[in-house]
Amino acid sequence: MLKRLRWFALGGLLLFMIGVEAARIVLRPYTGSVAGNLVMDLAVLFGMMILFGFFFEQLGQLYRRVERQNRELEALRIASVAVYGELALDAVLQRVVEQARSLLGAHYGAISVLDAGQRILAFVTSGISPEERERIGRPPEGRGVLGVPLLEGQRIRLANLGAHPRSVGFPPNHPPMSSLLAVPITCRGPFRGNLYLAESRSSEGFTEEDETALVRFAEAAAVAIEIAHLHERLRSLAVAEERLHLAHEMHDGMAQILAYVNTKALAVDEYLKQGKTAEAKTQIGQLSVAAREVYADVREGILGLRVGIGEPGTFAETLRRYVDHWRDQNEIEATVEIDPEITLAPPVELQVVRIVQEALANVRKHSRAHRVRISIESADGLVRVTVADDGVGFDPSALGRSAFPRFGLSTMRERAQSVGGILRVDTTPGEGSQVVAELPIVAGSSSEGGIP
Amino acid sequence: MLPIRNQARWDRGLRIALGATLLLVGFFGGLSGLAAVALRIFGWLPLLTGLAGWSPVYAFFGLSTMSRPRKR
Repeated sequence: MLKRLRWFALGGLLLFMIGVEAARIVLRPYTGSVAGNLVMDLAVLFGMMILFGFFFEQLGQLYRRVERQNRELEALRIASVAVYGELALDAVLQRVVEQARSLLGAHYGAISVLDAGQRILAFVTSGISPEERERIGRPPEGRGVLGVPLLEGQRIRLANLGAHPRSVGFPPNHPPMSSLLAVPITCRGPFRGNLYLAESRSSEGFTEEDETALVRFAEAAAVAIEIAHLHERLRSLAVAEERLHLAHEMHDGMAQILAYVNTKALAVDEYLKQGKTAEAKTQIGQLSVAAREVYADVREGILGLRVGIGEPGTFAETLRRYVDHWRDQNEIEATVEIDPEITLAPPVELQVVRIVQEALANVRKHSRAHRVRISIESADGLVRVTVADDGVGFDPSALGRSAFPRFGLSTMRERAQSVGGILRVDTTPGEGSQVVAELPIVAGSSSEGGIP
Repeated sequence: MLPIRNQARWDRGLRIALGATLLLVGFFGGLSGLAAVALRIFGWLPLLTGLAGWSPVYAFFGLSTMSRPRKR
């Protein structure tokens, strides 16, 4: 269109000037009088009106097109922000369909996504109330016209939906719809879907431009579905990794405790053989303490697994729930402060919860603390997890890896490093202790060296 | 429906004065040929738009010389 305007600016003006000159020559016998000149002026003004009318009409069309593209870009930008910023698939799809419906001026809009087994994975609507949707019943499965984009991957644009050969009518309580614009959502994963709008507000119905715009929204929806799929896979991998970690911890911890119990049992046996009942009793007492420790460990471990990632609710709720249970079990005052703005990647969330659990287990076992404070805050793109108690503290340099009881520091450190973070313990005998873990908000890899 | 005015009083006055002057020179200034026609056309345009108080070019670009109502 710009090219046409450019040619028009050159050629149109030239033609106009030739026209004026021709009119002047034709009207020359009459241009000596005022009336003749007026006729001449009227002719020129009329010509100018046509010329500029056409010019401004073209300019107006161009302006409207640019304006529409701007609105389209803005709507796509809003949808994209949701795609990359929101993790819940339904919420993202809702944003995409609402933006598309608003931009393209439709009464109704919907997105449906099917999994590999043709089961409906997600179905969101716009322009229809939840009550109306409830009354309509099951979401469409692509048996009628919607099967064209959903199952065959073809775009469809209809002025009269009912006239299409694949039309099978509407279920009871469905609002009447005639115009339809539907495009497929093509994903790389094992999913497929469609995005459709119905009942255009415009008298000319859905246009080719609308179709092109809707395809862009379908692409945004496809990215959202792929991200949700990857997020789900990441979560499964995090769970698998955690299982491995637990197996490793149980193997190490239980082996050490059993070795300790075995040594004590042998010592008891030896003392009894020698008739040293008093010494045997001392050993049995130590065995009893070890058994209670193990029992408390197992209870805490079970609690930690029960109140774990993957339960309904947010990460902060999960942690608060765990600390509440822990406080009830141990009668140590515990407070939790979590920055509400923090959003962590699932592997980091998991490690934060496990580090806090391990640190609290240490507080229970060794600190003799009355109060413990847990804080989770963001600092320079990192999440800082602090578990501070007012207990007896200890000398970290005096602890060997094989010392019993173990403080689980190496386990916590390994957990921090597994997501690219670091862990340190600040403690002085008699002045309490503080475990501080600094982890990246998005999980990294320990092989990348972690945080400097 | 008549278009909404987009010219202030001073704008209209200026256009009418300029248009009238150009027309007077175009009609009675002793000029002839294309120059006289151009002068008269450039006289008619401001005169007519000034009398109407509305300029199509202003309207297209969303301009106006009318003073805006003061916000309280």
